[in-house]
Amino acid sequence: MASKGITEQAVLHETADSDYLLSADEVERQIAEYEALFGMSSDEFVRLRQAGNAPDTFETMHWFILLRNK
Amino acid sequence: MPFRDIKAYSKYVINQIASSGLTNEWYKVHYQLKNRDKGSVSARGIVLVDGALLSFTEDISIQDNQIIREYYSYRFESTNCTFRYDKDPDAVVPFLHAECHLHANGLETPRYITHETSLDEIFGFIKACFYVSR
Repeated sequence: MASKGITEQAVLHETADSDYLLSADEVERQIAEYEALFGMSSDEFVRLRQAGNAPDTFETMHWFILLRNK
Repeated sequence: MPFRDIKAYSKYVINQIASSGLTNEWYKVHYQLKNRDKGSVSARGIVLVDGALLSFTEDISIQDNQIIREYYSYRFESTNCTFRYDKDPDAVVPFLHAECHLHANGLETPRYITHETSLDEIFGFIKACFYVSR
């Protein structure tokens, strides 16, 4: 991870792509975090969304987007 | 603005956040790749200089070097103002749930109908409204 508080120019040079690319493990970790937070599996969440009954929050949108791009 | 791939767009987002002068938490921005031209860019809980929080998630694809945002959520939370701009084409219900809408003060309803927007536009709006002197 690059250090904090550096200039934009430095960001361009110091940013390593791998620092900002979510790994498959990190995606799964975040998905598991949302499953625990909302007390349901991702399959159940997707079914609820399709039925129009999922909670309407930032977190559920992020969860859905993570699942779409796995 | 044209972008050749998701990675290039994510670098643009990181630089917009890093150069804003509003936070040193640009390292919270991440991208996810489904393939070269499809993925997401997101950040959860970037703390701004006054303690306000910025979170965003975008489901994006690149077509002809242009960003297509299929879904998004942009959330700003401060002590006296919270709002969230969403695009959710799956949830459309006439008169109740527009594809592009705004939630105010953390409430699920009402959903105020909006135009399709972008992180650039919302971040610019936040800067103009709440951080104009910086």
